[in-house]
Amino acid sequence: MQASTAHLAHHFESLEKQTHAARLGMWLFLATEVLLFTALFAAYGVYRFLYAPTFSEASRSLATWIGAVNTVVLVTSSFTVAMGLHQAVHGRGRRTAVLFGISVLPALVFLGFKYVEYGHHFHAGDLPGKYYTGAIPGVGASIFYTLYFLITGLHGLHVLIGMIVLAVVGALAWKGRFDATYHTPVELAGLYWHLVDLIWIFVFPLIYLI
Amino acid sequence: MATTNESTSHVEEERLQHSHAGRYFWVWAALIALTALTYWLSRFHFPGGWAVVVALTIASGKSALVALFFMHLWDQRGANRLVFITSLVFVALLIGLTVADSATRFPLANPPEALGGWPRAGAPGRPPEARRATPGSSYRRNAFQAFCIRYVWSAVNSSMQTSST
Repeated sequence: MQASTAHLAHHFESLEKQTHAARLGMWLFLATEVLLFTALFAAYGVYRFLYAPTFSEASRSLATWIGAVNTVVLVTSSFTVAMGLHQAVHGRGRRTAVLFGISVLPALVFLGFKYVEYGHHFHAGDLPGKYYTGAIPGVGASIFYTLYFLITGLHGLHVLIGMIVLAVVGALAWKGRFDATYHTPVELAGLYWHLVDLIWIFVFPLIYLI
Repeated sequence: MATTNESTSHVEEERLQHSHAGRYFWVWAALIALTALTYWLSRFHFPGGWAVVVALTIASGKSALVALFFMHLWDQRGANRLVFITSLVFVALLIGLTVADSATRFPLANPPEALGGWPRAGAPGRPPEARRATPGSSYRRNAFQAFCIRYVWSAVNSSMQTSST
């Protein structure tokens, strides 16, 4: 295997070992991300158990189709990112850049829908904690919206960070910084984006469907 | 040992270098189909907690597709898989134990208006969950239990205050 020594840090024996280390480091980071969201999902589980009827009612009051469309949007974006890595593996940096650019567009659509949803909640008074003045009475409804804003807000922040990472890595790919032997940043940016998608896959049923 | 590690990692690299475009497309198609399925199924009202089971089973299937094929855990052996599976073990512990805690508490240990909690004093509007779940008897029973607990609590409090002074 022809290693491009320009990318090899001096403390690694070979580029292959460096790639393995980078990949493992990314997976460790993703594990902490999973647990960060799991803490919120556990809180959701507890309060859903305690206020089951109110949670169902609040969940039904959300626009389910927006959640479904956003799922399709993120899954499609994940697919184009995976295709971007496929191009990078074959040393076609320009195509990687184009595919990463295409992947950022659905993310903008996703955030656009979130903006519409949040605007609707602000008008309806569906706000977290003591600011809740929504239509559904009871303690459970305000807790639902607290968790709703925490979970979708934290996820939205991850979408925003993921977009920036994809844009930066895409720009580097366009400049020809990567080749068939070295494209670790493309792979790691892809892993981050897939995790954002993976978390949404659970947010969608928990918030919108059940 | 070192030689086997080298050879397996070479095999792994080759698997990763292999073209995955077709596979990515089918995974994407499956994810769209499963999203449509879970959206369609959510329109039916399943009895009990089955809606949760159905929705989370489909979500687990979708996330398995993403993790295995988009994130390449299918091709990568060893450490990366171990890290991810370990995180899933802690997910199960964190959610399982916290929900099991709420589910098995002494009823009045749960917060006001919640399942098994007492009604909030002077709460306007909605009757509490306990009352709506089983109308009549359980509400009165909870109110009675609440009264007893409050009585015992105030008695304990006052006795502690008198003993300290």
